Amino acid sequence: MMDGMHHDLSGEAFRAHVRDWLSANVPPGFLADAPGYTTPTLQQCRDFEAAMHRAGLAGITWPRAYGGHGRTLREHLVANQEIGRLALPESVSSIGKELAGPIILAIGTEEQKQRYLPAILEMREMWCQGFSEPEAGSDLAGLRTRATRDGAGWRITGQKIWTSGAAKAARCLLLARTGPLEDRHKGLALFAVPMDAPGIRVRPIRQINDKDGGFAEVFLDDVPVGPEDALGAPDEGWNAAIRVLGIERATNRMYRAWRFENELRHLVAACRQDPALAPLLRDGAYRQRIAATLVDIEMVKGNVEPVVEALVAGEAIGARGSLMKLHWSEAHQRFAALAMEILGMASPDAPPPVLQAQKRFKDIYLQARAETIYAGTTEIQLGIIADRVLNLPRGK
Amino acid sequence: MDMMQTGLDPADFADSARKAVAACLGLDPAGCGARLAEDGLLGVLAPEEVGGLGLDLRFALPVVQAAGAGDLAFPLAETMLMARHLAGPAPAIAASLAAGEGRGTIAWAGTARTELVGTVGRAPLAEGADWVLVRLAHGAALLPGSALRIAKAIGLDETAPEYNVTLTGADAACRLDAAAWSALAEEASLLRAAAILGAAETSLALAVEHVTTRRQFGKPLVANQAMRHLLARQKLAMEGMRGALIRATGCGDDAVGMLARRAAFLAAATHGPLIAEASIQAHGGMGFTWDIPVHRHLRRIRTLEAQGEAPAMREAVAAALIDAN
Repeated sequence: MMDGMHHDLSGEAFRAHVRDWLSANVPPGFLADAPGYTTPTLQQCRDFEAAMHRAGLAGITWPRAYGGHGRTLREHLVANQEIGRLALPESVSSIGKELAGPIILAIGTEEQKQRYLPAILEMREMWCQGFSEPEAGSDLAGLRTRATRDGAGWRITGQKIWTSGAAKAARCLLLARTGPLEDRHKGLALFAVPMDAPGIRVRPIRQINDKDGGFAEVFLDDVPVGPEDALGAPDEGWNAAIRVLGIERATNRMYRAWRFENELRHLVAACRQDPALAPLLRDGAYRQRIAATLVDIEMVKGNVEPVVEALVAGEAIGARGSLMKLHWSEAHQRFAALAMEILGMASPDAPPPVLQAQKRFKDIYLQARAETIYAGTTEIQLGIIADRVLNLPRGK
Repeated sequence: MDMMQTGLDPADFADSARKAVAACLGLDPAGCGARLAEDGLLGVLAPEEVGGLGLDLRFALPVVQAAGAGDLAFPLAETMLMARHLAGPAPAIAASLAAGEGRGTIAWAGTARTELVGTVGRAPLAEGADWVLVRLAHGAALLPGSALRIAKAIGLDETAPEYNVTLTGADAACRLDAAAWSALAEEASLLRAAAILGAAETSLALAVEHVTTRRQFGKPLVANQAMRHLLARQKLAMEGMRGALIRATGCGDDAVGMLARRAAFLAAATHGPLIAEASIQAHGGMGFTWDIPVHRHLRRIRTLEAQGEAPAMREAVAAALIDAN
């Protein structure tokens, strides 16, 4: 099927399109559970994600006017289920697609939408996130980076940290303070800062998993930002962003349950390849734990699918994204530990498929440490559930 | 039959079930049966020919959930399932069960021999039952209570105690074939998930009530982050159980649906007991008293977990993944 013809499809026909397109277009060596896997380069990932977008597999619910495909959330879920079934690399542009894009869609000017959104989907511009600071992690009341008026524009000075992908990013979705520190949560403003602006310096931070393009610190010294790159007025932009992020937390990476299932199937398949591991698949205790993992996966699906129906029905989903994120991240950590335990018993001369699985699950295990920290730590999510799902009084 | 045809919504049944369950408080099983039958709740699943409503499982789930929430002293899921599955082979018995006149229950543990001897167990409220359904190697047999030796088992649930049932070689009133029994058993495990969900919801609600009203060190217990996070974790588990159950009811009759239905029960069997146990913990010393009813819900949940044979269900889930590939 030619690119662009997929817009007429719906329901199961769309699922078939996604499945067929992926089986025909995933580059050789891209799948972490298939023979011949080699870690894809950044450029390979960009090219593949751009092709996914042209085929209708990215920007699924974004309006067509801004390069999206104007499809429903149900179709977004369908595509994610099919994407999740394959051991594909994570997006190298997740900040743009999952954070900056949805916020710009909600609060950007028409000109900003035209300028930023197609560039994200076409993989021409990648974004990084400039929220956290050395003195402001989960608590943004302590944010110190300051934006001061400079004619119609702004000058920004301060320091950001944990800014993943800063070195490769064209823009930074940056949060800065327009008033005094005493204003705490007031006077915060969002900017789309060009990363090639004068006064920006990026210093990489080595991560526990030694991944290229990971964490960085970003230093901003009197960085000029034009009025066209301010996202909403002070307060307005950030308040809208918080609302958007509540929905986004519940709808992005919907493939996670199905990818999780792919990982479990990979682990089982790898065990069969090694005479030291195959007997574990007949061991009652390991079978109980594998079943518990499957139940966890089904619970992740059970958290995702009703949210789609609720959003389609126009219901407010409130803090349900916190439930989804917390259950998935902890279940995934339990599974990653199980995989490390099992693969740790492999034969010293294990065959290549087992070595490949060991490499994949080592990465997954280390990456899983971040999953209960980023996008709101476990402790923050528990606080949100207590406050906004259980509606517990503060108890003064 | 679906909602479009009947104009009914499963949620409508939740409200009437809650009221009926509340009205059953203090009644003996016969009295509960009569009260529940008044609202047609025993025949939700039974076909119309035997006086039932002929609805699908989605309509039974909120009813059983309400029974779990209210610690009902009646074998509701068993009666609903018997009224449905006996309608073919024994319509008069099915009709009397749906009408709340005859009393039935199911022995969930063990298998009787084909010549109808042996002892089976985990039959809730079997004492005084008119009919007991027992599992055979292939299918099941319905036996009159008068032909059985029925003895109270060592069990946790005091409201709906379990009994051991010894067969004495008497004839069966009817038999279910293996397919009918496995359909019944599969429906039972989803109903158990709903009952556990209801009992867990009540447990957590009691814990929330306690920590918001009980004061220590000059402030309510709920002011402590340790307590807030403990309760948040229970809510997380409970919504996971609920999501798995909702998802399972929407799945088809294929392998995906089979896994979803098994997972719905296992999610409840895994997390339900922990929610009730944490709710006792949140009550402190008061949680260890008979008067705080969380222990009743814990007893019910642990009993439902055992009746559903959670470890065997996990083994079946593992087998479908490991041995089928």
